Amino acid sequence: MRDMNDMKNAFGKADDAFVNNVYRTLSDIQLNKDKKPARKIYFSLTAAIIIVCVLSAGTVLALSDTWGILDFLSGRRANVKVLPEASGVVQEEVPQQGNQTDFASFVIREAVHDGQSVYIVLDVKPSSPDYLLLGPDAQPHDHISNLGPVFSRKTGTIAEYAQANHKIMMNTSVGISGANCSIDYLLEEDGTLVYMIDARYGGNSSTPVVELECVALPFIVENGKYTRDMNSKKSTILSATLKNAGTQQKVICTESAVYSDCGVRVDKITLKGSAMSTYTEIEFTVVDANKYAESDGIFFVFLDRYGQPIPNGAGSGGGIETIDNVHFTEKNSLQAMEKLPSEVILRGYSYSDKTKYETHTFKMKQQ
Amino acid sequence: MTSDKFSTQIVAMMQTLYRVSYAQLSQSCDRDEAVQECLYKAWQKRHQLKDEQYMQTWVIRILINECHNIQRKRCKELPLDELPERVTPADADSELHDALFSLEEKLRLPIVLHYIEGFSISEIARILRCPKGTVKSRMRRGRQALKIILNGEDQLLCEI
Repeated sequence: MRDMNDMKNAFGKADDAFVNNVYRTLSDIQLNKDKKPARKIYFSLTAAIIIVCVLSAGTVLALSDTWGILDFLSGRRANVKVLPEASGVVQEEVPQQGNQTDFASFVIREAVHDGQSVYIVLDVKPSSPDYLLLGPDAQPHDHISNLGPVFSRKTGTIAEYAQANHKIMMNTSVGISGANCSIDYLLEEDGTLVYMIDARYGGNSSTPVVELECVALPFIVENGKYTRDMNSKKSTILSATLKNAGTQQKVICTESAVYSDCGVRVDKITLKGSAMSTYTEIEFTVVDANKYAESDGIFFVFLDRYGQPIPNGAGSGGGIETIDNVHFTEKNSLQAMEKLPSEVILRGYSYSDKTKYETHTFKMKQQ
Repeated sequence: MTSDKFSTQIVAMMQTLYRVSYAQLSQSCDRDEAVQECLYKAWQKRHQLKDEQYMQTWVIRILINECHNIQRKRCKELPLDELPERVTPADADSELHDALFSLEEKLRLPIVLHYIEGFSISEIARILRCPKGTVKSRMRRGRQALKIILNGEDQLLCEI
């Protein structure tokens, strides 16, 4: 027999990694309290699974030092399809300035801006061979194999590797000012940390200047634990001038459809196509607050003609934006398409228990 | 609110942030992401909090939203029936842990918020943005299910 006092032990206590993450976030807030911080999206388990699956291909790529945007998309993510024209919009010479800190230099290797998102591959090179550069969420107690394909066969922790090789561990982070970034990274054999960053980034400028906040700081031991030495933090703003290749196509549907099982009405669907991705926006309104509350929230999935979900695209998800209490916009990225469809099939799901709601077909019109 | 006061209050909520994110997300990287986003948003929107005595329920609401955003992303990244399984932490009561995770999330969350975090029915209704009656019925169904799973008497008393 159990009673409610036992309940507090059901999940255990917050582990060190969780506690450190909270303290690190609070430190960032303290340091950047007057400006919007560049947020980082953590490397997910999905990505980790994919790395294991593509290890052999990735190792070849890493050893030949050719990790570019398209390599990251094909080698580090699952089912991401871009059009053949994508290689033509990759900008290999990117005008940039402001890239040096005492600990590392930050140089953009490649970039793509397709009018909806930016994709950037950036080299972070240590200013001393004694420095071991780590990504924003890498911790000294993490397994060394997390650092990338070159390290996949090594054993032990990052801290153990650093100690054995007389390296000073450096935390680094890169984010696009004002944008919610998705980040992937790997450490190459010569000590270069290669970042792949993508973020929703609109605008009509043909040559927008994108600012990246680049930070490096050492790990130190404090009270027997590794911690980031915020007093030694070095940062720089890297300004890069990108070429906006723009989206090629756009279709919309403004005929609404009610998903009565979950209490919402889809008001408008917009698809924008580029060589990199198909960007979707679904504007919906809650028309039955009780049913919507019962659903615990919904998300939409685009289906192909056989009822299978269309795979995700290269861009970051974007998530749901709240317009007001009843109006929302769900933004997502689907795989790139040669031609945007004349109709789309949209199914609603509950994200808490994966309940399927109705499916509606929408006729799309060229814009 | 100063950043020092904000930090102090967040640190005091450390275990609550952990348990609420744990109740919804199986992967530690996802919980880290959810909490980080939650804290940035709470700090950026702190002026919208009219009365600081509601800070805890307000932050928890933001955290639940962030957890839901990540659930949405994961649902799209992985086939719906292949979401990763949860590993019980070493210091957790595995029987209660497994019993709670055999409940649907919509039943589990009110139970966690009430019995573990000590929120009232009214506060839970505000956090989950649903009527008090819905909270009560979900808690009742959750308790009944737990009673069957744990094969004991229903001792999970609450104010309803």
